[in-house]
Amino acid sequence: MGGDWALFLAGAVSLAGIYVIYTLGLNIQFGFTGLGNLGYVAFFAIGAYTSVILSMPRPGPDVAYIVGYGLPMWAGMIGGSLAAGFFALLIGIPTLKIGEDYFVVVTFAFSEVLRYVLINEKWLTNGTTGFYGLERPFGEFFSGRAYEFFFLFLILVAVVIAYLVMRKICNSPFGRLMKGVRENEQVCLALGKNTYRVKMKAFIVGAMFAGFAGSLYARYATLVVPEMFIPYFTFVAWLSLMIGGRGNNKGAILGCFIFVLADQFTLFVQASAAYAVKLASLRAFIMGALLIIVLRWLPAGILKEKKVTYR
Amino acid sequence: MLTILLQHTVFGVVTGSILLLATIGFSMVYTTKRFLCISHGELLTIGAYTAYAFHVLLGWNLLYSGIIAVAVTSLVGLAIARGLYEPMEGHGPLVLLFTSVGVTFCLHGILEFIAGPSIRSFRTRILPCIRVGGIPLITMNEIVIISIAMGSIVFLHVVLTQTRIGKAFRAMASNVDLAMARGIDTARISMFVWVYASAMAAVAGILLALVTSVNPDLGWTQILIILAAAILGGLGSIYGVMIGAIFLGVVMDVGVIFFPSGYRAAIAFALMIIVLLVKPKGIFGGG
Repeated sequence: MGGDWALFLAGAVSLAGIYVIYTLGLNIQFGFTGLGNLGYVAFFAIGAYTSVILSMPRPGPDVAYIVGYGLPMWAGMIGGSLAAGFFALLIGIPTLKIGEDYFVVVTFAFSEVLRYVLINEKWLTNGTTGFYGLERPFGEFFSGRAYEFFFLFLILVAVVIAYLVMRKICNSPFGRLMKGVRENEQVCLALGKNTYRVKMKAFIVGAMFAGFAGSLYARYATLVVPEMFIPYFTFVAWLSLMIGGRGNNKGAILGCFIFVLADQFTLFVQASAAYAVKLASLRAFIMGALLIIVLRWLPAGILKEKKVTYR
Repeated sequence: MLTILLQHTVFGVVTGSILLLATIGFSMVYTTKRFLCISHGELLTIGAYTAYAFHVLLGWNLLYSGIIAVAVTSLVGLAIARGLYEPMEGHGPLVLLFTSVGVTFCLHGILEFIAGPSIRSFRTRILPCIRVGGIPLITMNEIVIISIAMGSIVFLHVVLTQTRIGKAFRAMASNVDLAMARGIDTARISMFVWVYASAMAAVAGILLALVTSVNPDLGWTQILIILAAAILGGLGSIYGVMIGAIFLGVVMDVGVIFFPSGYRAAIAFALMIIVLLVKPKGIFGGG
């Protein structure tokens, strides 16, 4: 029994680690730059699908899809991040110059439409079946149980690297500029800063983090299907960030761990098939209520953004 | 080909009429409260389920069930606004927007908990079809839907231009501070907006459920199209939205002749992006 617990814990912490990378990306977009990306899951999905398609073997004649490039897994992951960043660029061009409400609507619509594309374009995504039974990195060197712990190690390394990269960006002059745009775009414009470029960079970097997290998530779940990328996952990042504290990378990390703890705990509630559906609706209710409560009574999150004074 | 085109255009006007009812409320909230109220879509679902409960489960007359559903939805809409949105005013539009996302998840969870995920139908009679030149063109049901939408527009127009509260609403929409300075009771107008918007949402939800089905995702699938219609007509322009909604309905339903039907909502999105690139204030809005 003890071994099962350790295994479960390794799985949960791996998931939390992937969410941390995912949420760090939203933090640079919303927490630092104030971009309300309501379709954040789209970039997660693009990363997951691109990485899988790039590193899949060439397909045989008996499947619906016609792509698969047989690249190494790491190349797929890089490709996934780059693709997510590229789509952020495309979305950013028409939306970042006009008001924030338009940005919110377009990102939200983009994530929903992307899901329709994933379902309908069978030649590219294999439709609702998706891709399953995916290989995992270095899977051939470890047996079943030991691999879970090795995968956890890999995720933790990725989290540390992602955190250090993000800290570097946020502590740089560019980090201050992002906060400036968030607080008062007009003043930044008056100081001769190109705020459109600042927002674009933050948007692209955030999307690349989401894409990278998506490519890891595909390996964690060993499958990708359109159902994995419902708006709920946008909500996961938002809720984690709001709980932990926006504009604070440590807050993003804390928020993800709290979220995963709460989320995985509900899996232990014994439920028959009939009650599983009821439980799922109840879970949506609890998550929604949690977001309302945090926004109202804990607006800065648990770890508040540090007030920095520059002299 | 022409027959198909004509029939799809009629479908489009019906879709657009329902969309119009849903979007006007959304737009009224946006013009006075200045935030995108994502939970507006769930009010459609609440309206549809309440009408379903009274009409099918209790066997009441559809008209009475509809009136009760509109009343219930208005109260729910007002209660949510009073309890959850109004205390958050002053925290900025994004915080209100995310509160409304939280509300959406809550309402969706509650509805699915009570009603279950199954898809239900009103099982209305299909009334005889009117033929024009030998082609079945439009059913009486569809004529009723279009008439309700047109009636609502005319009614809203009269309210906005002829009544004190309508004029006060327009004053508040153009400048809240100025309206308050002129002694307009903005709290009362807010109440009017929430009740009116929720009532329209309920009507839209019931009509949509009548032509399609009642399911927990009814409102969620509509909110994306509502947002597209609102942007198309120009965010915050009540009259622009009316034309935007009908236009979008026709484009979507005519579009499915040329594109796979899975892309119906994607057509709305593509149209929205084109409009944002060419004329960000909407086709008919903001000069």
